[in-house]
Amino acid sequence: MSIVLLKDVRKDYPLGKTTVHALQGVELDISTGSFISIVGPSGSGKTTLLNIIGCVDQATTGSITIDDQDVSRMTDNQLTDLRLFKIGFIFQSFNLIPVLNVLENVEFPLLLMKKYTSKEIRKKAEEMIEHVRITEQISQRPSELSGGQRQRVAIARALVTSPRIVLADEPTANLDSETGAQILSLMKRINEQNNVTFIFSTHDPDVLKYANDVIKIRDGKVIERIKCQ
Amino acid sequence: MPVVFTIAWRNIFRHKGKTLIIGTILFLGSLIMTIGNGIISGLDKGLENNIVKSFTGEILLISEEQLSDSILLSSTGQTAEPINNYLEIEKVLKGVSFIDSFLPGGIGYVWVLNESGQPIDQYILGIDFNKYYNFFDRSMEVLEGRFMEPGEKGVLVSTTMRKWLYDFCGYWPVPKGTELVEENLNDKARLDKDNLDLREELVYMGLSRKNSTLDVLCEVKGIIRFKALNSLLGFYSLVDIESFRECMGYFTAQDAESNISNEYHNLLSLEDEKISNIFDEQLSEIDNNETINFDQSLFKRKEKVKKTLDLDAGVYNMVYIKLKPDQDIKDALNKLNILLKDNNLAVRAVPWNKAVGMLGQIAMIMKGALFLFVAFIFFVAVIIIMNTLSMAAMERVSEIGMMRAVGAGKWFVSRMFLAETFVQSATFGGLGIFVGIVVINILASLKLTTKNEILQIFYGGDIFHPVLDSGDIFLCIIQLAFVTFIAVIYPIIVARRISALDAIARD
Repeated sequence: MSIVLLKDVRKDYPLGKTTVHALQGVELDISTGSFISIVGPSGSGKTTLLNIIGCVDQATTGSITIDDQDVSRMTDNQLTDLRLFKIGFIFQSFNLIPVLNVLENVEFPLLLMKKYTSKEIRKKAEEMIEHVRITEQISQRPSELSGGQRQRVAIARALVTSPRIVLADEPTANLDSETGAQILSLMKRINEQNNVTFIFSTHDPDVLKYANDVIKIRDGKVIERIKCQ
Repeated sequence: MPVVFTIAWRNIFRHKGKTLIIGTILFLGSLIMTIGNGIISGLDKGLENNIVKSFTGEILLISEEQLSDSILLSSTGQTAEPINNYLEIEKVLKGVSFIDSFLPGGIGYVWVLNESGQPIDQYILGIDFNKYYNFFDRSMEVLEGRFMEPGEKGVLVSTTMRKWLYDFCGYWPVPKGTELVEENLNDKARLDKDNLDLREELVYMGLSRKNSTLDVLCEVKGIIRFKALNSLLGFYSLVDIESFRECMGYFTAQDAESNISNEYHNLLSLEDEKISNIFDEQLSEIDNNETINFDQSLFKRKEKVKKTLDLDAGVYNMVYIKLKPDQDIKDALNKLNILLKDNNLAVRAVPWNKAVGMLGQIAMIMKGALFLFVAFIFFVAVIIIMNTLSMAAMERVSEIGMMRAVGAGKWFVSRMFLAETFVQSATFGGLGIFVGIVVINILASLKLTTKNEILQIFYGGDIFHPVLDSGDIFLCIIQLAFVTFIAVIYPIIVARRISALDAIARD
């Protein structure tokens, strides 16, 4: 069953007097529970593709369906809600809220949902923190954590709302290889346990060991899709 | 605590430099605003207290014929309409429970004649001096000469009017039989002290609408100064009521003593224009070339009063009224006007602030100037806070963009900025207001006094008594909230424009 469906998606950016064609007719069908890696050289359109799937950027033309919802004509508020309830983000630079501690950072998206009581929010956040194994740092602020610990918090924050899709733009780029491997195994474990779809861009060849689908992209076009299993 | 307030509170400590800049501005702005409000409020209350206590009472009765309420200082220098039934008014006022005391008086616009040049115009108050002095809490002091004795004729010249007379007429009034007091000369007069033209008598000519009343010679008895607000209240010289009436062509107590008929009584109480109208009606068939003869002696200078007269039998222009303590002026005015109308007394009651006309406007100008100063301080504060917060928003693109990415709406971003500014405003602005209240209370407790007339206007009297009541403090909080709100609008617009894409692009 498709969780992400892209048809003839194009994205053009104006750059001075010229236009950059970041995506040129991308067709993509991603199934629920996939662990997909998007690879390609710099400037190939990986991040643009992730942004469009994550509803933080809009395609110039084409059709985008996320969890059976056509996002092309959604308002800003509708897109914000879609991100909140169905999509989790993991950033390269972690992007945690610096003045909140680990627990509060993980609680943050749950508070935005206005769906749970404060007790439920606390319980869900603590469970997720335990899941990513940073319980000992629960009261620490991001500045007191290592890079790996911060990325675990980011993963916990991305997953705590039980999203259908998690998008990660080069999640291991700022981590050493050992920590990067730990993070990837954590993501893989969650993918398998919770049936959450993971889509991430990477330059890291080791990542390919974990992915069950690899999408190669170049010059804004999907040039190859490799099934790894 | 809601997460926006948690973030706001902790950001204050995280960005210490910016917090210090914004906090200092908010603190100083609030402090200056609070002190300014205290001074404005003190000025307002001081002016009211001093003008009411020393010059007007809370309410004045004026003739129904009076066009403008501002009888004491009209912008056109109009002569006040006469009240010729004071004895009837007195009877009614004596029965009013909320009136503490009342006093009749006259006010006239006159020329002070000057044989060597242009006359100077000024207001004079016609009063029974001893009653006036006691009614207004002995609010003046005699600088040279003496006050007037009961029944005595003469004029008490204010220091302000003496300066005017010297500047415009070239002579220096001194009380009869006194020496020149050099220390009271102003700088200009001091330079010319050997050639000063000293005058012990002044000639006043009352100005009616037709400028045709008599001139009256008044002996200068004393040079006076109001203890507070002399520069405002000193526009008036005080003339005994009988001389005043003669000067203005009014019916005097002496006339009453001479048992003048009712017909003359009415005639003498009328303004010139109305007198002319009577003659026009009665003598319409008289040839235009024929001379009309009527008893001019009625308008001429009267013989000196040698026995005690009932001064209240003559004409006045107004009645000063002091209310009992804690009496609401508006309520008293309404009740009084109904009573006056019911008794057909042909007078109306007006509040003191309308009666003083331009004097009240001077207070408004002072308040306006101080308010503008405070507003300027806050305008500068708004600009600086707005810039600092906008810079802060731009520096937090990753954080705000990430929030937007994980599902925070624009409203959440707005609330977060509002909360941060509110917390800073409440903390530092609140501290500024608190310190301002302390400063105002310390200043008030010092009871600083001054004889400097310019400072007295700022003080609202001779004692510096800034005051902040709960309404003033509430006003400070409202002003602070307004400034905070204005200052945060643009930074919020900047922050709301930050998208998740901006955060990812920066990533």
